[in-house]
Amino acid sequence: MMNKRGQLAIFVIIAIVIIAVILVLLFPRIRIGIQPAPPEVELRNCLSENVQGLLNTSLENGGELNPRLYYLYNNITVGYVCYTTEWYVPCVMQKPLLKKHIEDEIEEAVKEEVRLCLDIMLDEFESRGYDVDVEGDNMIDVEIIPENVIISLNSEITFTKGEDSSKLTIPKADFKSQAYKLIAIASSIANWESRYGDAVPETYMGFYPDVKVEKKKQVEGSTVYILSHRDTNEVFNFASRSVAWPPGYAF
Amino acid sequence: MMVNKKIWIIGILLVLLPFVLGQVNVCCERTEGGAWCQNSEPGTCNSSYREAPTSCDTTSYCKPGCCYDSLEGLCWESTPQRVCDASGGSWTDDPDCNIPQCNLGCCVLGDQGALVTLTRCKQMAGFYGLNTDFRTNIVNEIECIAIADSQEKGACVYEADYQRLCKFTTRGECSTAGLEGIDGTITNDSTGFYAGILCSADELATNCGPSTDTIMIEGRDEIYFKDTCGNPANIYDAARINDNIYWKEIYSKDESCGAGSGNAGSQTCGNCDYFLGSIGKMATSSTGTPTYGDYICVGLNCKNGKQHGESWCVKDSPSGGGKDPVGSRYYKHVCIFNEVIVEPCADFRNEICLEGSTNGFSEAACRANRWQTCLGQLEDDDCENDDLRDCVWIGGYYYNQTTGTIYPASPKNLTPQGVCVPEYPPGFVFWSTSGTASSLGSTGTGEVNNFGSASLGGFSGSSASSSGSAGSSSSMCSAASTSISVEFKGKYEDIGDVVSDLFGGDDELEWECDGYDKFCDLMGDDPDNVNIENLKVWAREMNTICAAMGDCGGGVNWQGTSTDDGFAAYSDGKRFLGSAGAETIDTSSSTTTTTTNTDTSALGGLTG
Repeated sequence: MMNKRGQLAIFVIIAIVIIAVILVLLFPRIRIGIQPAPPEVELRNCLSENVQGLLNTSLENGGELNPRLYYLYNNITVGYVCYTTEWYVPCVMQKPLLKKHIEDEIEEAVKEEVRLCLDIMLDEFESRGYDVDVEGDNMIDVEIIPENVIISLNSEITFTKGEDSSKLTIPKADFKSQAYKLIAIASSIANWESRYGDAVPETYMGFYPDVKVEKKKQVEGSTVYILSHRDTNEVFNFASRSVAWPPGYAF
Repeated sequence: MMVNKKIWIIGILLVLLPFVLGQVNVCCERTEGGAWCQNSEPGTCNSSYREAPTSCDTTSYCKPGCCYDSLEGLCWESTPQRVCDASGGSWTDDPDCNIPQCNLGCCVLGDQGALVTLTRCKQMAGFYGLNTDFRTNIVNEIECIAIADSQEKGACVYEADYQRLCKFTTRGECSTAGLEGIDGTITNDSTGFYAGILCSADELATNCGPSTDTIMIEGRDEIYFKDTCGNPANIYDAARINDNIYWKEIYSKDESCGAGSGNAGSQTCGNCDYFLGSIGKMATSSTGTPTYGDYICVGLNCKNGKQHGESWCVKDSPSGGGKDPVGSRYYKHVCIFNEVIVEPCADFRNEICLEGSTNGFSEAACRANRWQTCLGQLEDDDCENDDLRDCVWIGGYYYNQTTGTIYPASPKNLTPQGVCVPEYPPGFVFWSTSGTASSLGSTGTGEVNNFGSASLGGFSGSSASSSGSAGSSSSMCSAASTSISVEFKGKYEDIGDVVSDLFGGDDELEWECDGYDKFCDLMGDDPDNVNIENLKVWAREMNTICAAMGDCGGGVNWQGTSTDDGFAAYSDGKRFLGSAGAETIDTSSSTTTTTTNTDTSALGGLTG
């Protein structure tokens, strides 16, 4: 009795598999399982990932991807936002408009990656039989705003298949980031450093409980600030050398 | 012809004069290291940029001013014109940014406030979709936040798709949507702003009602009940979840559960307070679970018993009283958000840490070590004037300003009978042969690094220069260097014994100490029986003064490595006593000369 039931179950399963195979062969457009994301979504993801990586690098290095003037702190090249080589005098601002500086540098650095991301998307459309035409400079705009980073691609893509033609403007990509807040705090600290040669981390931690501000004075007069967001774990390091005192007397 | 020759000579002298008198600085538009607008030594400038034989303040391109970011509404102080222009900012000749665009005011954004510029306020209002509310008469951050917090809040009732909807907001924001305030009785048919009323009030007859869910609000510490429309209601209080009044009227923080305490870990009360050591956070297995909702007040105090916000000093022992060991440093520790953040004060004891306490709440700060004027003080009152300097007075010695050295006080010397030394001895770069500021600056590659014996080699092409040498240990230590020599002179005293006179017997040998009287007092008159204990005490005392001058003399460094160098006594050129008195005296010579001095080279043994 049990054997008969088992055999029946096996036949039913085999029948279902055969029907499924026939359906897939007859209707190849039927996709089984998880559908891949549309190409334009993949493009947005591709852009986001690249920009996010560069942003993290920039924040780690004092708002620069490859700082020329830096303090080597725990093997991290922490770029100076405000700097003087002299003793006793306040620093000279090195990176005013810090947010714009970071955005501009990322936009420039991500060019190659944008092209690669676009190529992947265009290949996908072409494999579906579309003729693809891209208008624009393929540059992106990176905008750091409160709690977000927005990436816009300055290109318009035209797809043609037969006599049908449609234009696609790539929607803006974005990802969550607290970079805006960290940069704003860094800007304020830089102004304090340029005026008084110092800043008080507790003040900032009082106003912004979600941000941890650390101040590490170094032996040759530089100060490394480490701003870290408690929720996102994003870190912004930057250095300043202002009103530095030499060791001992200056006879 | 003769006149021409003189003019030539004067001209050459004028050209050479600056080089004879000292190093001439130039203004580098950019240094080899990549720094913009630095007063630096010639040869350190990047040849692709401009260079002027003058201070940067007087150049057109490097003059510091205010760089205004017209998009963000931010002002950057002390920014060179060249740097500002290249960054896309708008430069004004005022390094402190006292310009109208940079005037601050209170920007009220809903129930939050920030002290910012008008442009910044407009931009932030745009981000949050609010109207710009900029108040120029308020220029105090605390006042601004208080005003924003006191904004009248209530239920903004409106209709959409034949439904009565509600948003909990401020009166201003509600009126922006064209809805007027409604005073008097709550009705279930009028739309408008109901001050002090929550959206969940039954009387409003909106689609919002009570729920068991909670919510956190950006910029607030507390946990709030959330109504069914997603609006915040009153502070989470599990005991009042079914209280209709609590879902109808707004209760202030002071009227809510657990007012006046942080309520850390409370499962039933969401009245968290950042300044009382708690804040609302998503509950986890380590924080405990609230009776309702997902958030709980998390305690921010530290495990060492310090409260959130407390700060205190940590020092390498011993400290103060001129006893700080070589390599020691002061630290400020701060308890913030459950963890202790370590903030080192400036190295080389250029800063010390001071601590105070109010009602058991300690606060600390790093501040400048004011030791520079100690040695010049001749009175103990001036020396230990805490308002002006950080010094201690050591009696029994005096500082001879003419010779620049410290001597043991002597009856023959006039007052003062004491010496003023730093309470917190400064540190020196005693391991550096050059010890100049330039050795601490940046390299041509732009890296600014720790100095130390290993790193110093990397500072070639440095650019720091202008303010003289820094931290040469010999210059400061030499103030406490003293070399005192005494000589024992012996002569035979005729004792009048005829037998001795006839047969060559000895007359009595009499010794006399000749030299600095104080020192002769210490040593006694018999070279065969010198008072070693006195000498040891003297050497130690002098070494104490020496060590108080900075990283000088013998001693123990912060890692516990000790040296017996520094003050020492010599006999016929042979050292027999160090500052710690370890050696034994050798008085085999009939004539003993005792010399003491400091030995700055001995400091090498203290580095550890």
